[in-house]
Amino acid sequence: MTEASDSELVRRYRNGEIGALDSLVRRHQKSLFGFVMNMVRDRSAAEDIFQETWLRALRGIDAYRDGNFGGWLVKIARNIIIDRSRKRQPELCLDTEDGEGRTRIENTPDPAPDPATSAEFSDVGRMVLDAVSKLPPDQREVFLMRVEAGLSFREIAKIQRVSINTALGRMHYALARLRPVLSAQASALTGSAQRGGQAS
Amino acid sequence: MNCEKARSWILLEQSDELSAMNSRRLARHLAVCKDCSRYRNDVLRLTRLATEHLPAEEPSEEAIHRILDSAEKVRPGRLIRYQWFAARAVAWAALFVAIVGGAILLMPEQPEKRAGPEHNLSAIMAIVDENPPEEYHSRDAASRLEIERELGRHLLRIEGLLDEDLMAEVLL
Repeated sequence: MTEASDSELVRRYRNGEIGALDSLVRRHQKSLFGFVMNMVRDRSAAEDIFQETWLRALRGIDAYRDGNFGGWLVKIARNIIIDRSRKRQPELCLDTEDGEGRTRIENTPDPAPDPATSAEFSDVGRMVLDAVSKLPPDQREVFLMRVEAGLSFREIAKIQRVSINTALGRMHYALARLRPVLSAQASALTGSAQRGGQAS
Repeated sequence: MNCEKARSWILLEQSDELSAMNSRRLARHLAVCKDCSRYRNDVLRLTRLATEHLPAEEPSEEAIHRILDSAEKVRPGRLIRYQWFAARAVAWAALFVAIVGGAILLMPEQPEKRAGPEHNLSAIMAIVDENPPEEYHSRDAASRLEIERELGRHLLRIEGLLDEDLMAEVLL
């Protein structure tokens, strides 16, 4: 039996079937939570944002038209992250730029990796995590929307309200900043192989 | 094709946003451009690394349960409205059944069947007996007309023409 589409589940939920919502939440929990978690790097905050995203989505479910439901959720989550950032810095608004020409999303703090989380990862994993967390927010956002949430560049551009070329440019920059991780990974693999060779 | 465009197309190809024709054009470029080919490999490796190594965390079950619990509160309007409509429909149906049932129970008994042909015939004979020809002709026009109508009514009933409207039409 084929799985019901997101649109079908939304329609069933609108008709009062709570079970359809359960399926929707579980289907999108990994990509949505992964995006939020890697944006804020704080599990407690990520869970709050995850819940608030769904509550806002449910309140505005009648506004959802057939389309990428996951993209719609990511858009809501992004707005919540920006709202929270605004509350931390009430003197700034979303569209204003600071003295250095950085917009609201660019002012979201760099998420330092949780030491406890980092400890669970391999060297390469930690390097990836560190590199992603050090990306400028707009680039990190594009990277995570693409890699974690699986959104298309067209959708990312729409969410960020930029042209598709700008979204692609941000991804290029993000990848350029992450490329050293590949070299480090190669070195780690070489070192590991050498250690293995000496041990044998 | 220049390399800048090719690198954008590499990203678009990964997200399935590149047309088949442009994919072929990109493949032709990659076949001759080592830099772009290396770039494509790096993009694929980085994406794979990130997918494998970024924390693949999931929300707690409590968070999901809170969402589902809240869903009942967020959209009670629709559910309550639905239940209200259902209850109203049942109430209307019950009322309808009560009215129809009551009407059937309280309906007065059917009037007796109209007199049969034998009865009508005897009625005609009675009218004729009460109005022999000599008396009939001595009556005024209004009385005669009334007697004729009464006779006609009984005659029509004998023929089975019980429709009052039709009878009136025939008599007039």
